[in-house]
Amino acid sequence: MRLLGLFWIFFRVGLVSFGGVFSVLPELQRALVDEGYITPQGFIQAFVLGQVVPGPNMAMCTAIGWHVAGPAGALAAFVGIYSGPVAMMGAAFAAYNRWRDITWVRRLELAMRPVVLGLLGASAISLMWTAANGQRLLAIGVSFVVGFLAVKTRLGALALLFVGAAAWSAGQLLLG
Amino acid sequence: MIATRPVPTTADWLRVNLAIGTLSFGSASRIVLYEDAVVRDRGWLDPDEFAEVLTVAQLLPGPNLVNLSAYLGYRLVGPVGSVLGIVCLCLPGSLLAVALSGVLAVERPWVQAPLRGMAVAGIVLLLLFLWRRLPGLASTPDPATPAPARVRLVRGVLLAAVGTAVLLGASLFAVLGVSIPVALFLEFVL
Repeated sequence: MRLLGLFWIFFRVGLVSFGGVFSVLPELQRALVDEGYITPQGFIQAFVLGQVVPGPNMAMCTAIGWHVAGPAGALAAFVGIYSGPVAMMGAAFAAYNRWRDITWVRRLELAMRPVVLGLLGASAISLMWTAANGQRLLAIGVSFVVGFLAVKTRLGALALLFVGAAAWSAGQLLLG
Repeated sequence: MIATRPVPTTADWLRVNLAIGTLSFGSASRIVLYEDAVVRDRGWLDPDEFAEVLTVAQLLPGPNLVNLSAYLGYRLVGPVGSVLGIVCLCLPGSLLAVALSGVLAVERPWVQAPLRGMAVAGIVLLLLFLWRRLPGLASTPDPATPAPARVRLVRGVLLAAVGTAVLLGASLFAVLGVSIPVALFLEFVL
């Protein structure tokens, strides 16, 4: 029963998770904490964890599921949070794919490009603001190194991520 | 052209997702990692197709970081491969979150420093990626004729307006509610 309740919480939250986990965080916390699945502190820990592990930041849901009911709980949370959006996406993608060769559908996509680029640009800038918080000089230095190597060499994104990690660690050691 | 383009198998696609799911620390890097994997390294899609997939994935409902993988998978290997791809993308981080939840040490400096470096590097790569996408604003349904200067200017202004509104703290729903009708009006009426 507890498992079913857990699945239901994640499933209904997943259905409205436009824009990732941030938009549903308050609702998720309310449901899980009020119904006694997890303490507020446990919820915050899971959130922090979900932010540092690789992959989509919904990873926190699996961790909460595990915390509540072991492997079965993790599975319930994983399936719950993803099945709703995946079904909706599948239907939308199928519809778009079917009609994307029609000229006005193609024009629709082209018309939306500036909106998407603007959104992504703004989120990149505000993410940078957060990431650089308190370490502005280091952030500028690391950005310069990574940007320079990205433009001047053929290094792939993965290699450049590790360059960033190494540069920040080295900078932190040097600056104390 | 059609005959020479490599076509991925489902196994190829799952390997790509597993790798990105394991290594994409910091959400900003994911778009660029997919572009590297799908366009630059393997040539499964051309850059303009990637731009199309990105637009569709960002605007349809769902957790938007998963959408990109979902729709890429749908285009490349079909619906079943797409769902399996999402599982491969999400699994490594989920397992790691479970494994680490007992020994939470994420506030230690030696854990934080490389993670922050990766986050910053990912953001820089995302900004460079967006910069490279700007010529895509001149695309029209006919690849041979680019859009006239007037259209490009209008699209550029729209991009700047959307970005500024979000940075000034407007809610996502408000921004999309205004900008989508405006974009459609500009495209189809003018």
